[in-house]
Amino acid sequence: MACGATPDGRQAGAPLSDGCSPAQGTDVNGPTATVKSVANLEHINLAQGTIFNMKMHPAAFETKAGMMKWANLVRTYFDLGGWEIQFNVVDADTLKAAQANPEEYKDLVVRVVGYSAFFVELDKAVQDDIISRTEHTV
Amino acid sequence: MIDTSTKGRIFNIQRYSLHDGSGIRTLVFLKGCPLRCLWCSNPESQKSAPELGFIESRCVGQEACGAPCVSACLEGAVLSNGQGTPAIDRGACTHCGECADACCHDALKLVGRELSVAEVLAEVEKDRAFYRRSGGGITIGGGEPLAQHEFTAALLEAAQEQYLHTAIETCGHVAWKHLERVLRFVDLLHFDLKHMDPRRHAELTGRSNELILGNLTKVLRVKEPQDVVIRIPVIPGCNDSAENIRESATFVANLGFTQIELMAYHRFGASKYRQYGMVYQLDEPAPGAESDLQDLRRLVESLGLQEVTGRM
Repeated sequence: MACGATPDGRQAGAPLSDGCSPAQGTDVNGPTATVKSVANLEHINLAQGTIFNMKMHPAAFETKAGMMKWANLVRTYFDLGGWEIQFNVVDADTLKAAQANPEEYKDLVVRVVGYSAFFVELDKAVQDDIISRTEHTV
Repeated sequence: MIDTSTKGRIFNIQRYSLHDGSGIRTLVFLKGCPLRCLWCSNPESQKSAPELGFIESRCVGQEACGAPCVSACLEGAVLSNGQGTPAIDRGACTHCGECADACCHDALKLVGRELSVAEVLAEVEKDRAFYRRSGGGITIGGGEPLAQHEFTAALLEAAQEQYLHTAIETCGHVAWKHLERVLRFVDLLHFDLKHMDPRRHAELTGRSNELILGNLTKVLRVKEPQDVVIRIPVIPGCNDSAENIRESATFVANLGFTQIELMAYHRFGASKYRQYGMVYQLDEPAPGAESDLQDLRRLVESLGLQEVTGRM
């Protein structure tokens, strides 16, 4: 709240990054790169603990193979020295808000199927499909 | 001796790929393909040469930014079109990339860069820890990897020398001698089969299927069935009839293949067509027009094949 605009494009009063998670719009190289960056911190120096939030799409969990790959992402994070990780699954309300106000959700990345995309750049038909998918699985 | 300075034209390197082989993988997309499948999800992959993409949702309009893209263009190919966003004269464009460099909002991008084997492997190496945990590795796709067969062979051989698990996704439309050489360095082969009828295949993909089917009859001379997955993208109204799926499955089963994947249709790449000045040709399927994929999966399993969707 007290922090003014920063040179990376962040506006005055806008949130800084949440916990150790990437700042808004900077998470552009995918989950493996983010996991490596956070694991690289000296967590032992952060005695009150660290928060690392990741957003996952429900489709990632629909098959056993998908679950195993996500689990191995988490295991690798701990192999590399990470201490804490937690997951948000994107909900339909957020996605609908992004459809209505795309300029406020430019950095919202959704996992489409085996790849990620900026939600506001997808065709409306695909956005609707993703929204309906999320409602079924959550 | 592998020449790791050998260069290929790449349009994307995608980390954390989950549907291109076992475990967590990095997928290297090669530019250029002999086919023009109507359902192609990567339209920017089809031509070998670099191309300019315009992402309208990122453009803030020339009143806001002063249109440096228009002034940067040396050919007059980037024009104001009255709505504040640029129009692109693709005939005049020489793909120099000046407009993309000038844009502060990443609304213009040049796709298709030359990278060496060494440069690609340096990027792939970043996720080694994830491959180790998950049984993942590198997958070459595109576009069509065999359209740059020398580069693909060099990249795969170098990857195997570094103990990376290698996979490839191919349409199989290439001379057998080039496919055979590349397959020496492939641990897991995904081989597409679009349609059994040569004329219908040509209508759907731009080429007949004789070369592809001929190559399929030879693959098991050099690969074991457990290292091959035949992939059929199931496209409503194109190749999804029970007759075509039955004929395809019978053909591959008789050749000795054991694994098949029936991939559900999607339109996730359709929004990219406009970005590259192309038009997506397929209409949305009418409600109820899509085949029951579960029925088709049961059909292929009744012919003795293992359907492996979601199992890798």
